[in-house]
Amino acid sequence: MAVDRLRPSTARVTITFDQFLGIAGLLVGFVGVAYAVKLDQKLKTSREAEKQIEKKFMHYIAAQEFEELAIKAAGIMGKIRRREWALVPGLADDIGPSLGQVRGARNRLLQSLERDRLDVAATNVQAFIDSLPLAGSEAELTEDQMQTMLSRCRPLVDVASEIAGRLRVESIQQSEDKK
Amino acid sequence: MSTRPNHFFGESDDPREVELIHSLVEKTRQGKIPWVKQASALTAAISSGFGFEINFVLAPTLSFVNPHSSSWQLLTVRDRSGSELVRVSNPPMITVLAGAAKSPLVHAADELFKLVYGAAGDELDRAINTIKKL
Repeated sequence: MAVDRLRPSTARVTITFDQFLGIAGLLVGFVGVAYAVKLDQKLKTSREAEKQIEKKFMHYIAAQEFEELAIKAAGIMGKIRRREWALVPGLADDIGPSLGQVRGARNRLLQSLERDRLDVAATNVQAFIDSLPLAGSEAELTEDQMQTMLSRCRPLVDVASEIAGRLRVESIQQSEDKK
Repeated sequence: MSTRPNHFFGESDDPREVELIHSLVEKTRQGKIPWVKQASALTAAISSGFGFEINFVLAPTLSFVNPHSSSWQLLTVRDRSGSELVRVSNPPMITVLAGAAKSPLVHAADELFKLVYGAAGDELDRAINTIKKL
């Protein structure tokens, strides 16, 4: 009796094989859940990165489109200054639809003042197209008439190049902000 | 929002639009609307209440007419969400010369523009005087 008191008491826990399997299953389940959470986080991060790249690419393409528009308008202005009338009507006919297309496609990226300025530029481009001389009567154009034509193209060059610059900077900033 | 263009023989203006522009004239006179002059626009943002954004887009200047004179081509008033409340296009000079009467809305916008553009000139005078006093 006295010897039994001195012996440290050890509680024996015996588990059955089924219980062991249950605990093992629980542990595997925990590990599985943790792994799934980790994968989900990775997926979210990759989706965010994908969206960021898409956004950056969209800004880049839009910047390029506005830049092309500005170059086209500036090209027309150059041709008027040099009195190279042969190509002007074709370029003028092309710029109206191009402006409408870019404006429509990139409307979401534009600020309200930019939209207004593009509207005004479109009105001026239309007035410019309407004021083009008929074939053969270009020589009769006065200096003032040519100045008016140039002034009607200038708003488009200004606003399109400004938008292109802003969008380009924003696409760079987005990637730098992420860093 | 007004989607009605100001045609040559246009429909009548919504009196509330005219009233809105007149209110802007009044508040600008009181110096309660801060206007900002940009290269090709005059803009103002009102942050109180609904919050408004007002844009005057300037017409291209012709060097042979008067390089220092300016006129507007488009006026828009938008609320904070970007919805357009007022859109007024200034009819080209040729239509005015042809005898077409300006609508009350265009008249109101004209008044606002003259006031804002004049104020920008006053600020320039103030800047000149300030520098002279240095």
